[in-house]
Amino acid sequence: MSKYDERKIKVFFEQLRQEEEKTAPAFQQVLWGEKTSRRSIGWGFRLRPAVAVFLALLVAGPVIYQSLRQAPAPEVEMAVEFEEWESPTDFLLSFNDSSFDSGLPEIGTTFWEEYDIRSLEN
Amino acid sequence: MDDESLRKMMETNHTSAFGWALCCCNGDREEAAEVLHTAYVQVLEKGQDSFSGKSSFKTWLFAVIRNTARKRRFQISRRIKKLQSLVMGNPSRQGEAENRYYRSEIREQILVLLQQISRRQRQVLQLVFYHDLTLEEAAAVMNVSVGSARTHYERGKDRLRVEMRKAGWDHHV
Repeated sequence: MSKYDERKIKVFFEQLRQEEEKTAPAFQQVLWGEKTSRRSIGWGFRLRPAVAVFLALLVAGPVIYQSLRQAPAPEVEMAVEFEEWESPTDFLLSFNDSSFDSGLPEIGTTFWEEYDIRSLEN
Repeated sequence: MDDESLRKMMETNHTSAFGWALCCCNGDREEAAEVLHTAYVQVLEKGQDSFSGKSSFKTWLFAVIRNTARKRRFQISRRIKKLQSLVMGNPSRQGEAENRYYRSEIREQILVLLQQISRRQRQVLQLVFYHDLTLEEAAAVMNVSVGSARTHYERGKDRLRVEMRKAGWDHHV
């Protein structure tokens, strides 16, 4: 093969290279497989975000825990308030024990008889 | 060699690597991009251990790309996908359209001519004339002996010259 023929082949491939270089996708695009699926990325790469989150929690965890302990949770506050709450009609349930004992009707007397006896005593 | 150095060297050789990936994938852009992506990930994951520095980084990267493309060709999943596309229609019309868009007239003619020679001949010629590798480096990329690479090289040149004449390619040069 002559030098001329080799030169022709060289130019032939040079043209191919120029054509392909013009349309080559960007390096980052290929590296991150933007147009392709990510199934071929290994576990090492996949787990990086999870590891980062885990480390962040490890550092921030004690701080968050402390702040949660200092300020009671809203649910706890609500439970305390609920326990201390009194109904406005609670007094109706309280009565004087002594008057209750003395006020008991005796067996054999009617309500009206009892009422009369009490009114006389008072 | 650390990740950052590997990444920089890949970026430096990226355009050339994409051209080589295209050669290994018969000019299919979508396939070439996927092969290159897989090769890059492999390099970043295992590169520190597997790149010994015996050859140049470019030669080593090209060998990784070639192996990735070769493995990919033989993947059963590809066969299943093709079978599915035969039964259910081809879902990858977008990729085909993209390939057509990027195939300029000149590139189309060149690819047609390159289809006339064998895969090995095409690869060795591309490595020498397109990527400026020596025959020894081309042999290392293709994982064949230098003697075998030389045979493919000489036969490929003769065959391509004949095909170029037939196609009237002399007018383009």
